[in-house]
Amino acid sequence: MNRQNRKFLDRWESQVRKGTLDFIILICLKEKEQYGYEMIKNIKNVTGMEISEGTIYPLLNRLKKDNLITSHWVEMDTGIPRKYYQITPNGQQVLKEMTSSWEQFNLSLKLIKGDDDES
Amino acid sequence: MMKAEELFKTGVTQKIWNQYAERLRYLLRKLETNEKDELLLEIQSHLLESFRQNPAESEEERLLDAIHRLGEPEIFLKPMIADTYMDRASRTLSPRDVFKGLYFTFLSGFKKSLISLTLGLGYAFVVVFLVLAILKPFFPDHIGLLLFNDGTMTAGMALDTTGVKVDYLGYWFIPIAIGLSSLIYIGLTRWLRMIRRTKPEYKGRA
Repeated sequence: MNRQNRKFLDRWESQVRKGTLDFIILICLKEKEQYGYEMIKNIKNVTGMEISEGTIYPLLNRLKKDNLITSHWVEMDTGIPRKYYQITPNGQQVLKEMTSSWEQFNLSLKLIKGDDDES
Repeated sequence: MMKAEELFKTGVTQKIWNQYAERLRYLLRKLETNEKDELLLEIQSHLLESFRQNPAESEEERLLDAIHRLGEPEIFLKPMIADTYMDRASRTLSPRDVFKGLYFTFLSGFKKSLISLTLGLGYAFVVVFLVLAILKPFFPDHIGLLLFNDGTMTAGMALDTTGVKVDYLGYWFIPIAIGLSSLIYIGLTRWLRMIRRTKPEYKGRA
């Protein structure tokens, strides 16, 4: 792939990831509560996404204000307290809707691409 | 939380930590105390986790790396500060908070517009002076660095030359205009390249 195409693709992937980060955060919190740094590491390990780490905090703050997640502080033996986030019942409901929309969107893409075997 | 003096062995690392904390405090100074303290604590907690888990040997290197990966607070905190002001404005109905929220929300868009405007004007300047350099031999009295009898000065083209007292550059206008245009062109293009090279916020696996 040439440099120009690579750049275009990098920018496009960046936009897609940016747009889906709140969805990814809710998925991360679906199974267990996590703190910010842990979430970033998990996202990186599973998806390969390298998030500019600070960007997750405004998103967590927004999700909290939207009553999709809550948080609490836990004192650790290391002396560094951690702020753990967990999904709320409302967040679970929204995540269900988001998953359904995502699947619908994915299906529409397959249809428009003409993947008959998938549709 | 442990104090910085208990966390770092060297004075340099402690200084880096203190400077970063000061930078955060300054950025968040307008938030309500509890919001500010909680956010500060969360960011510091993140930095210390990142610092502790870095395998590098040098303490300074580990902290600088943690700060680098966290990103520029001026950028990542902007949406949160905007949200805070807008939330407060919706509660207090204060025009000051509305203005501040809008200011932070549109700051990034405004910055981009300002860059585009500067680049646009700069490139227009380059084109205009190149055209003037080409036209100078055809309109020698109308183009140049002209001083008028009334004391005003024009660098470029004057349609009415009746009041022209001195043409300072004469035909030197041509190489100077071309040279200046070239320098501006190179400068603007390098600046543009620098802006384009700025890392995206999210990077995928190669």
